[in-house]
Amino acid sequence: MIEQPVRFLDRARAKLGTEGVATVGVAARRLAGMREAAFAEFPDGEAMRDRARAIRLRTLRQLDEHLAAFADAVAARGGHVHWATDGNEANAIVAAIASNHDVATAVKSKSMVTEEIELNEALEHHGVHVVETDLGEFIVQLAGDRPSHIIAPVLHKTRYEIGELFAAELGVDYTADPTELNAVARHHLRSVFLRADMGISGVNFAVAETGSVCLVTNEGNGRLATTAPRIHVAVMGMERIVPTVADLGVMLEVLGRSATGQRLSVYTNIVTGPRRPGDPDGPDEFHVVILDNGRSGVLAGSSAEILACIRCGACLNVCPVYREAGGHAYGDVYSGPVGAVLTPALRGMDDWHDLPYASSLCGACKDACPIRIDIPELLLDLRAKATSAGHDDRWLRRGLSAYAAAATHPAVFRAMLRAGGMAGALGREGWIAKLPGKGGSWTDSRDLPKPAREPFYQWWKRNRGT
Amino acid sequence: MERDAFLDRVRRATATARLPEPPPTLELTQTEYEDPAEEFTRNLTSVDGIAHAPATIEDVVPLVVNIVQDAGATSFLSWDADELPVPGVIEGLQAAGCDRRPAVVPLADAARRTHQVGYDDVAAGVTGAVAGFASSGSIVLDTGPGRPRMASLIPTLHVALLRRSAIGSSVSVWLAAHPAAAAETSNLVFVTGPSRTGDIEMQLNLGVHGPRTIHVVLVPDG
Repeated sequence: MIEQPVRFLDRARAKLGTEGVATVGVAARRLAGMREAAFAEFPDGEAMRDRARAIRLRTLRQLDEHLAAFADAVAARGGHVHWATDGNEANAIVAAIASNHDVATAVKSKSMVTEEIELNEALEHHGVHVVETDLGEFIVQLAGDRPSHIIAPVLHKTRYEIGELFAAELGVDYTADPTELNAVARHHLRSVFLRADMGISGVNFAVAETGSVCLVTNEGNGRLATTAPRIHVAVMGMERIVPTVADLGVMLEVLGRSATGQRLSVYTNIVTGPRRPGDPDGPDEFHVVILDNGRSGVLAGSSAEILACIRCGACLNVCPVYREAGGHAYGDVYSGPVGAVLTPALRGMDDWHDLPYASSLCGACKDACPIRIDIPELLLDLRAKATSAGHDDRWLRRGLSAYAAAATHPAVFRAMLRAGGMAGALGREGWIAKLPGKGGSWTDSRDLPKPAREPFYQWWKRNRGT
Repeated sequence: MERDAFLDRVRRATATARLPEPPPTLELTQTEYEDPAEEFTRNLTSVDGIAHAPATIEDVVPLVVNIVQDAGATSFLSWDADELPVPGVIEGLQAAGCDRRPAVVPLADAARRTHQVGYDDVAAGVTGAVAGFASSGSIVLDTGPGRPRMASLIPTLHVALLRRSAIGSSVSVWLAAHPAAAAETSNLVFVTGPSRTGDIEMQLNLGVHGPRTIHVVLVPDG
C-alpha cells in the first residue's frame, strides 16, 4: 500500500485553528451567503441550473465531436490549436511558442489548469519570466505559496502578511491598508502588462460553434492579458466546451451567482481568434492548448460526472470540512468537495485514496452545485474503489471489525459499554479526543462523544426491566 | 499529440462514460421589464457603476465633458466618432482641453511596445456600447475598426454611451437572440460595473486592473 508522503489528516491537523484557516472559514461562509442571496432573487434560478446541468451532461456524451468542431472553428478564424495528452506536452507546447517568438515575459490571468500542469515552473525553466496578474495569485506567487481557494486564492493570508510581503518583495513602504495594497499591485502590474510579449489565460468556457474562448474575471486582468501582449495562449481542460453561444448564456447565468453571488462577473471576455484586419489592438496570434491529462480516463469511468464542473467554488464554500481545514489540506490544486473527487480521479488512487474520506457526505455540496453534480455519490464510489484496491483505512477496518466482534457477543459488548462509561475521564466537555491503544486510530480523525456513565441497556433493566 | 489520436481516445471514453440522464428543460419566466432603463440603472448602481439619463441628445456632449473634467482627466482614448451614437463627443472633449491619444497599436513588436507603454497615464476612455442587460446592469462592447478594446480597459475612468433602445433583458436572452455576436468580432465583452477585487481579506476594492469608475450614459432615441 502506497502512502502519500503527507496525508489529508496531517495537512489538516497542521492548519486547524490557525489564523489563516479561520480567515478561509469566514470568507467561505460569506461567499456561500452571497450565493444563496443571488439565487433567492433569481426567479429562473432552479430552471437555469437544470438547463446548465443538461448542457454539461449532453456535451460530455459527445465531447469528441464538440472538440473537433471547436478546433475547426478556431482554425477558421486564424487561431492555432494544440493537443496535449498530459502536462508535460502542454508545457512543451507553450514553451515552444514562447521560444519561437523570443518571449521574455509572459503575463498570466488566473487559471487552475495551468497550476495543475505547473506551467509557470516549466516556462521559468525555459527562461521565460512568468507573472501572475490576478491580485490573489500575484500575492501567492510573490510569497512562493499555493492558492487556497478556487475563486479567492489568497484567503489564507491576512492584510498584514501581504503588507510585509509587498514591502519586502516590491520595495514599497509597509502598509496594511487594502486600498493602498491594491494601488501598489495595480501600478506594479500595469507596467508589466504593457511590456509583456505573451499573455496566458485559462478558459472558463469554449464555444464549439464559433471557436470562441470565454474568460470570466472581476479585476480585468483577463482582458489585459488577452489584449496587450502580441501573443495570446489559452490553456483549457478538454471538458470546458459548450456547444453554442446560447448555451454559453445559460452557463453565465449560473457561474457568477454561484461563485460570488454576482449576477454577472465584472468582465465576461469572449475571444474569437486573433486581432483581425482593421482591428486597432489585440494580439496578433491566438493559440489554444487543449489538455487531456487524465480527463479521458475520468470520462471513461464512473467519475465522469465530475467533468461537468464549472469551477465556481460553491461546493468549497458550503463544505463543513473545507471551512475547518482550508484548501491546502487537500494537497493539490483542486480543493474542497470537487477536489476530493477530481484529484484521485485524475491522479489515481494510489497516492490520493484518502481524499474521498475528507467529507462528511452531508450533501451540502450537491445542493450548492449549479450543475447539481452528485458529489457525495461520486465520493462513495471512490471510497468503494479505494477499499477494493486495498486502500481502506486502518481505523475503519480495525474499528468495524472490533465492533462486529463485540456486538455479536453480548457479554463482550456489555463489558465494552461499561468500560466506555468509565472512560469518561479521558476527555473534556463531552468529547474524547484520544482513545488509548488500538482505538487511537479511530480518534485520530474524529473526536468521540463521551459515553453515558450508565449504558442504556442497564438503565432499561433498572427502570423498565423485569 | 496528433488531433486524431487525441479525439479517438475521447471518443472511446464517451462510449463507456457513466453519466446521469440530463434533466428535462423547464420553461423560464423570461422577465420582460416594463422599464428596462430603470432596471438597468438600479442594477448598475448596485455594482458601483453610475448611470445617467439625459433628457435629449443635445445634453449628451456637455454631460460627457463634465464627467471627464470632474475626474481631472486631461487625456483620453476613444472609439472613432462614427462609432459613437452621438456626434460631437470627441470634438467637445478636445475643445475642453482634453488630449485624444491615438488608439491604433502598431503591429511591429518594438513599435507596439512603445505605443502601449504610452498608455500608462491615459485617464479616460470613451466608448459606445452594442447593448445592455437590464437584469445585471451590464454593457456589451465589441471590437473592430474604430473600436479599440483598450479604451474601456486601460483608463481609470470609462464613459460608455448606450442607446436606451439597445437595453435587453439578460445575458442568456441576448446571446440566444444574437448567436452570431461572438463570431462577428475578435473580442466581445460584457462589462458589469467597475473592476473589482475582494482578494485581500474580502474587502471590496475597485479599479485593481480595469477602470475604477464607470459611467453609462443612456442615450435617448430619436
